[in-house]
Amino acid sequence: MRNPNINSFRNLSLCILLCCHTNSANAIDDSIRISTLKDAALYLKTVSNLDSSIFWPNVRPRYFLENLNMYVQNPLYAFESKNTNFCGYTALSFVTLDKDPLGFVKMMMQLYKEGKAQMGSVYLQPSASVRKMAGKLKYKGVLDINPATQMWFLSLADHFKGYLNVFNKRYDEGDENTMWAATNFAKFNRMLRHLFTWKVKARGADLVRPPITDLFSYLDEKMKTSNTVFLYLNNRLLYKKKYVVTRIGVPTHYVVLLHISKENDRINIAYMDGGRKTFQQISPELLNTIVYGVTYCTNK
Amino acid sequence: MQLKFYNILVVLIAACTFISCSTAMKFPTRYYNEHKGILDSIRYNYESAYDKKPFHIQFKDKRFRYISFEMLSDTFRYIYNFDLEAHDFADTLYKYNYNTPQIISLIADMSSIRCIWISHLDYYENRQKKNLVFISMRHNQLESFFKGEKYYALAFFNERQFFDKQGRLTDKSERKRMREINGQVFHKITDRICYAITGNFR
Repeated sequence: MRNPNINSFRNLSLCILLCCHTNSANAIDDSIRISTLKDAALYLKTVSNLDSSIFWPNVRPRYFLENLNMYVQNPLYAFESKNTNFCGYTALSFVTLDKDPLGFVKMMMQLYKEGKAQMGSVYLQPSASVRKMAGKLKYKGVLDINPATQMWFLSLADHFKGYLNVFNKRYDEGDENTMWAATNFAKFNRMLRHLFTWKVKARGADLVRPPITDLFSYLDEKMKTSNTVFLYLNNRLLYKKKYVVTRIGVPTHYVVLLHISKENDRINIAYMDGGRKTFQQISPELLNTIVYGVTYCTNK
Repeated sequence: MQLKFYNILVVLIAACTFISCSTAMKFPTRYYNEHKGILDSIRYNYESAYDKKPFHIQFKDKRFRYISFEMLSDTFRYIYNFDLEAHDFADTLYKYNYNTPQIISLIADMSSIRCIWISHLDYYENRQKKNLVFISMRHNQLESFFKGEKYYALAFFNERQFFDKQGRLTDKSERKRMREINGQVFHKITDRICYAITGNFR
């Protein structure tokens, strides 16, 4: 463990400022933006009356609209959740909202009214058990008061399945914390390919770290040449939750990489995680240990 | 004779089981009562410092020398690691306008009772945002070679809470539903303070 000194704080603060003055996701290229938050806000102003939906019995129209407005006014908070296995869906949702907020809000409106909706090449038609549960999730932080986000996460988890979901494919109450909602690396990349019109490339796997000699340089280069970079991490090393000497290395978390730079022998990284942009100084060894997958997207 | 021996053995096993179970059950409440003064001081010191500028603290090692300090804003989180034996920590707190003496004193109190994590948790009741102070501690009684280490977590609420007959924290609007904090069911110490013995300290 090494101490950061005041100079390194100044440098980190500088990179933080750079991140703050760019998009909500620094790695997202402007050329792929289809609509803006302003477009989405104007659209939402035209929606004055919304009737209850027979498809989503526990999602009140008033709270649904409040949640859609939150997407536009405070997108960072919109996808925050605690104690769930929704991190993969959270990571891609930030990009969804950054790339085409108007399209996303319209899709959510269709999903609410009709119980089904299309996004990219995906036709979301959530099951009855999922539709019944949306609006009722509790003890998940700000997700408790965001019924539209509950609809979106549950619909994604219900639609996309990977090998981690084989033994629990049907939703039962509480499954948002179980393997039903888990996302393996291949499933995450498949979701990106189907939901967006990007060229999605990935390196890494669920149990084996990618054979990249200089990971910092690799990530730095991908940040410059791609529109978005996602990291698949062993989050338990980044945020310790228990003290153990030995631990089986398993990645469990997805984040959007916003910034990476090197300073002496330390690496400054900024990433979108939950409802906050997180900035951290880590060692190159820790970076190599925690990263199990790198997904980068380019325009087709 | 043999029957008498078996009877004594059964009584001894039952007594041992009862004693070990009752010790395990009593430990959390006893621990809180024995350390009430310092635990309350940690809580109020933290709340007061947090209100001025939000942060979380985690001790990173068994010797309580290294910490991870999370500076929080509405949209950002900055995570820095410090060696408490170096001078950088106080300098940094001062530079970022934290109440340096108060936080240094808080950290000394935390270290004295092996408190490894302190944070401010938001939760929602009837769509209203509320918060609690969450702290976790290590304790020799909770370390097991076979089961792994457990942590003693305390949740300090600002309002009266509701409990079932077994003393488990329940949801205010659905009294039969257990109310979870960090995915854990908590138990009553007082009507505003609850505990859990948990596998994760945060």
